[in-house]
Amino acid sequence: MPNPFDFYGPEFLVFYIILGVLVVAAVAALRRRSEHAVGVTAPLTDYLKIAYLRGGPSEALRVAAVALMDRGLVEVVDDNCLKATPEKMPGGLQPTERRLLECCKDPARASEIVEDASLKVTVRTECEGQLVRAGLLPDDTVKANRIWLLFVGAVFLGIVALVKVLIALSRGRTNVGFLIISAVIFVFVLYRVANPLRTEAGEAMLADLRKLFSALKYRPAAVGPAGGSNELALLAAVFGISSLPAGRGSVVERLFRRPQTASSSCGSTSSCGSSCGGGGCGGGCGGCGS
Amino acid sequence: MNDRVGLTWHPRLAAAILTARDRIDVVEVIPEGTFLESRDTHRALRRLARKVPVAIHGVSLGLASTAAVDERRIVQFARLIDDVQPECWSEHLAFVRAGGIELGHLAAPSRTETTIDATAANIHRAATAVGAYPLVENVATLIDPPGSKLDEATWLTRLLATSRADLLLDLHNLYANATNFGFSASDALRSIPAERIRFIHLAGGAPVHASTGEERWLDDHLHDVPDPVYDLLEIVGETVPHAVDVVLERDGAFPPFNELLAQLDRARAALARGRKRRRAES
Repeated sequence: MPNPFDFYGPEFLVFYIILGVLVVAAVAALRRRSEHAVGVTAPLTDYLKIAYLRGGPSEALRVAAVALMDRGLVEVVDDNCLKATPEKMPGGLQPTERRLLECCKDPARASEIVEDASLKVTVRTECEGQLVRAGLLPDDTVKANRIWLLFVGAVFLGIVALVKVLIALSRGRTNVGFLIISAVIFVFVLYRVANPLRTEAGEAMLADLRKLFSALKYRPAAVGPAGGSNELALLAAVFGISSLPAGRGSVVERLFRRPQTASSSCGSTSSCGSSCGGGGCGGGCGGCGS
Repeated sequence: MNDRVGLTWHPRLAAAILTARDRIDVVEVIPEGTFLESRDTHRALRRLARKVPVAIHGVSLGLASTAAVDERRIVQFARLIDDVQPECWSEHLAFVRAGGIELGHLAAPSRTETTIDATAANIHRAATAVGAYPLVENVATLIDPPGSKLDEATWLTRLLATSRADLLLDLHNLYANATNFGFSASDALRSIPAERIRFIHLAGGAPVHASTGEERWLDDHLHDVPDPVYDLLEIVGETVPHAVDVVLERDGAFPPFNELLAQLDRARAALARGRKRRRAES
């Protein structure tokens, strides 16, 4: 059997790419095997946690805003701002919904609300712990295992590339650029493969929800505030706000679009920071007419 | 008595059903297409079954046939039941294929001693493969099955005596057949052994006209439950000695979800009235 380190440049590059693909596949398989977990208590109807699982804190805030709009608790002002409608805070709200409503006492730019640091902390506190305990997001053990897999894969591919580079240089060849680029690309791919946002159980949970709700996105006429069933929030949580019924979808997408100019405002003189109650909005809601 | 009331699962109603769990005790899933074949879908249904009591309702085995049930379909069904782990499973007392041709319809069998024996054998075959006896459901028909020698209630009663399977009584099917063939649905209901009735279906239908001008009642699952069916449910509450599950079947032309929930409330009320009468009489 030939020694692969004796291969010429292009031949070794092909060998290295095949080796890299095998290592990536092995890391992916080992990660899946170590994380395979079914039987967790899944939040099948909690739109906020589903949205958080699918897209993280900003996405959860986006869907929470849609849910509040659907319930008539906030309204769209000037195309891209939100304003709370009730004088008095309604009961039965989740902490994130309550904080979001506080932030919208005065018109607040939607695209900035969903990036607000303190709101992200609130939604993270509400969702992440339960999703981790349910095995849908990685806990410390899973994260450590992932880092170990990434480390082993990256070191292996790095050592192979380094040895070949040293051999090539010792033989007076300097055409090692593609090999170095390949090594960097493979380490990046390894990082993505070894460290996805969700665990295998989390992926399975989202896939199951998409299957169970598969026809929901084709039912635009029937979802809406009249039903009062949180269907719209679940639809947005499972499939994203782009899946919302025609009309509503475009309104919501426009709402969360970042402003093109810095001068656009929410038509109010008060800033979001002053309307978030005790906690404040973390200073991230500027631009609401200030 | 812990009677439960629920809905047929439909992906279009999925989110509404799950968010109205306080008013829906049980859901019934009809495994067709990918629901029957895909292991991923089985896993999704298993997740659903952990959240809410699920019953699997078959439509393709064709138990009420003098031909043996297709082995491949039984195996497929057994795998589904094994994967999903529902509370129970059921199938229609109909034939769905003949001479190798799929009818695409739940056809009522001739009501004879021969079909009773053949159906009981098919039920036993399916139960052996699946590991549990199905609940068997009476079907609606627009024509009186040719060659029938027994009335529907007698045929059902004798089948229940021959098989260990209990009855899923579709009250709308019973109502449709009574309307179409001029017998009393309530008398027929009272003649069926009440202790073998485990599950109830409610549904709606509409009149259809033959070219001869004759009118028939079609069980289409696209309309609201007619009033006489609630009256039959009241009789179920009065006569059945144990808790039953009641499922409203709706396959399309969905009204606002609150209207479906109102029909479930009405079913609960009818059942409760029957239960009250039963307590008063005992």
